[in-house]
Amino acid sequence: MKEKIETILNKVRSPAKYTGHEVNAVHKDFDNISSKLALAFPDIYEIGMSYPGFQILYHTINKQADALASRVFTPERDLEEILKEEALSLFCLEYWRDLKEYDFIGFTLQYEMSYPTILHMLKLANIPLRTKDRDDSHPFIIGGGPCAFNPEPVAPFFDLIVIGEAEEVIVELMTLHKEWLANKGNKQEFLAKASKITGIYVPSMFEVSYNEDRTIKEVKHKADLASTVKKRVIDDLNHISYPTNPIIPYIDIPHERMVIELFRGCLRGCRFCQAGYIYRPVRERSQDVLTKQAKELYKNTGYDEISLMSLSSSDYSCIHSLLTDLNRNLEKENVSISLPSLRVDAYDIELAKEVQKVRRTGLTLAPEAGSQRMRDVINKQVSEEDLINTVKAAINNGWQRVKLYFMIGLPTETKEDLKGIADLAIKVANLGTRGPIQVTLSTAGFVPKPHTPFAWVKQNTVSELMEKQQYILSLLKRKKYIKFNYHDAKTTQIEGVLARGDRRLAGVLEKVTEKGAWLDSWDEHFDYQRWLSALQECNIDHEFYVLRERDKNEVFPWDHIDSGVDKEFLWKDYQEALNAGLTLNCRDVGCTLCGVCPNLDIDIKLAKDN
Amino acid sequence: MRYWIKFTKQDKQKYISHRDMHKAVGRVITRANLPVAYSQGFNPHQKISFSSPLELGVASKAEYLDLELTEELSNSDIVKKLNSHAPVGFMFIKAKALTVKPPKLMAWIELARYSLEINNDEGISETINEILNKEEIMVEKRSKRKFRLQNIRSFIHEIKFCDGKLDVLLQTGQRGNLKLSQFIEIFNELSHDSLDFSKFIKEEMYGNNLSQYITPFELLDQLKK
Repeated sequence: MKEKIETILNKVRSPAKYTGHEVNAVHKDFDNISSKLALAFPDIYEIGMSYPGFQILYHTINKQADALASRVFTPERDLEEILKEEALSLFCLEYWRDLKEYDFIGFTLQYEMSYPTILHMLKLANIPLRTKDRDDSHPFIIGGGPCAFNPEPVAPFFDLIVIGEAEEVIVELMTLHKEWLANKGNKQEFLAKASKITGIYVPSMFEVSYNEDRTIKEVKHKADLASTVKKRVIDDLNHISYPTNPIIPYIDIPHERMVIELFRGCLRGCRFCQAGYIYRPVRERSQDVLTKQAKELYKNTGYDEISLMSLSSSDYSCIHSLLTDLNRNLEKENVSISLPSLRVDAYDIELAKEVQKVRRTGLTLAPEAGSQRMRDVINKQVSEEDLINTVKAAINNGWQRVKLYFMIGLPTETKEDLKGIADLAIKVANLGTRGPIQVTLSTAGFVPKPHTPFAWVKQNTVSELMEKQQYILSLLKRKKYIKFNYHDAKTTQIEGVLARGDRRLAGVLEKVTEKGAWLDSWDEHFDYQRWLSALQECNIDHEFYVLRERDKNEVFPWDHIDSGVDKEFLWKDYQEALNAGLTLNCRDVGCTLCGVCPNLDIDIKLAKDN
Repeated sequence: MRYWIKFTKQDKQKYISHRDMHKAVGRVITRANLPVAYSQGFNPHQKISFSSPLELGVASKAEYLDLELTEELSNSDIVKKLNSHAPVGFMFIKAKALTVKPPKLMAWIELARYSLEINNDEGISETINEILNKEEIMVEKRSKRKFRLQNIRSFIHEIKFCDGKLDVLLQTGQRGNLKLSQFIEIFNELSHDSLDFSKFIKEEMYGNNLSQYITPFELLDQLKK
């Protein structure tokens, strides 16, 4: 196989992304390692290599003496064609070995639209898609990531799924695997033991029954051993390993920079944001640990930019002293610091000023909604005044372009709220001191997500969203300084189906993959008709999943997946939203009773309390 | 202080494009903590430049880079530091401080020598002679979306076969360039055997000084005198 790959790589574009020999890639003695895991990213190399979580798992596993991790991405069409011609299976980067030679193939579930690519990759590896069609000779197909919080549409394809943070679980799983190998057990025995680890969900152990109206009656453990699967959460982020020697791709990828992770969880509670609920509670890394990691990263990578990652970086409790610390350590090395996910207040601009010493070109802000009422509904605690002051400060400090992100199709949305989006963009543009500044306005269609207060909400139809896009566009006529982008409403519709879908959609995913679906999160690969005909052939009415306001007491497909946040809390918060009432953050006003801390027996951890 | 440094690009690193290699070597220099000089301006970049690009997929034992440091370091120190941070496949062989201002590497280098081990040498001398006896070998060259035919016979300087090895000297660089893959295409059309592109390796590069073809380090020696 290796000889063949060597020749093949001379025939494909960008061969450097298939060699597996980038700086900091790990190579072990393949045949003498007991537990081998292929980390699979259902997108192309450039995208997958930009995800820090992928690197975390890679290095966490490779640190184990008896385990190894290798990477695999979906190959580009040119390589895929050659693999098929030469009757070769999909191979992993590091060892150029057939995926079937691994004990585990671990797919990351980052976004719903990547599901067909997962099936596509399994097909390229000649592995049967459904768990029930695989035998003891096949690798365990495992998964994890944000979409694991409703894994039901893909549940029939996975032997087990990790719910929550994987750094500890994955090591426990590898240890269990080694023991299991020594005892020569069968797959079922392994899964039975694995299911006892907190955070591990074995879909085949649960049975789903349905009501006549197609809603779910019950999701039940077949042997009544457990009613729910609790998410795994790491108590102290300072005590888990973090890769300060990440793999450095040779080819250009979107995010070529060092990354330190300030904290997990977010205290904001924006109601549309799934990450804000499933990653609770807030746990910050200490400033000392972060500074040390930054220095090591610089030494090991040679990158000239460092990104301070989290869901809302300016909320880090010691952000000022951390920045001072980093500036002191890295400034002389020509390293620039970037703060993604800025909120919209003047405080942030002061911060941004501190960090962005060079390249002050574009400022990205996400007010999410155009009117104050709408922003209150989604609990985005930002006022128009905040936004205006922020942009004013930015212009005074040399920024020349602003990007604004909004959502359309939010619950209770009216024409006024939409008009607010256009008005705000125009107002922002006209803050320019010498004529209007360039504003790029982007709108995404709102998709209600599991485990959020909006999980009950009826999503907008394709035509509703398209009308709204056209309406905003009509308000921006002759405003040449505003560039208006909007997400494809059809993709939004399918994403919605999968986001709140159930096991009955697995057949649709098989069908749509059979019809050629691949990289559906890319506009140029997405084909709405393909989805509609797959749904039709499977006799599934997609409107059932998206275009329906759910009853308060409806059993959701993901109710047995326990994020720690109580469903009753989410419902109450939804009712609050409908009245445009706010839920303030628990750091400043005290506990909001979301349930996560008592349910998971954990506490908020702030760096300033260290 | 400026240096010329010779390095290899072998094994899997042959799949890295010239542009990506530039970036990769830049990061090796950063990690090695060499006091590299930066250009002035809005977007400062390291002062490094390379010899003419190596074709993607071809390994090389002789690539050259021009590096400017803000302090003087010993030649062996530079090599040692670079090697301790270089990925497998990249090996830094030799560094030489520039005492006089030499020409630009990219402009000066004109020839590249490649070698290939051959299993089947049947009829190989005939093929070599056939190529060398031709007065005209036309290949398609693409420039700015236009195709034109070019006689590249003069770009093939030598083809030798000895000790089971094919030894080829081709024109490279700004004053005419024949890619190894193009040469192989020409050769395979006339031969019984077919040469495998992936088994070639670039052995050395040469430029002209006082109407002699010499290596970059030989040039530095001659300039010093």
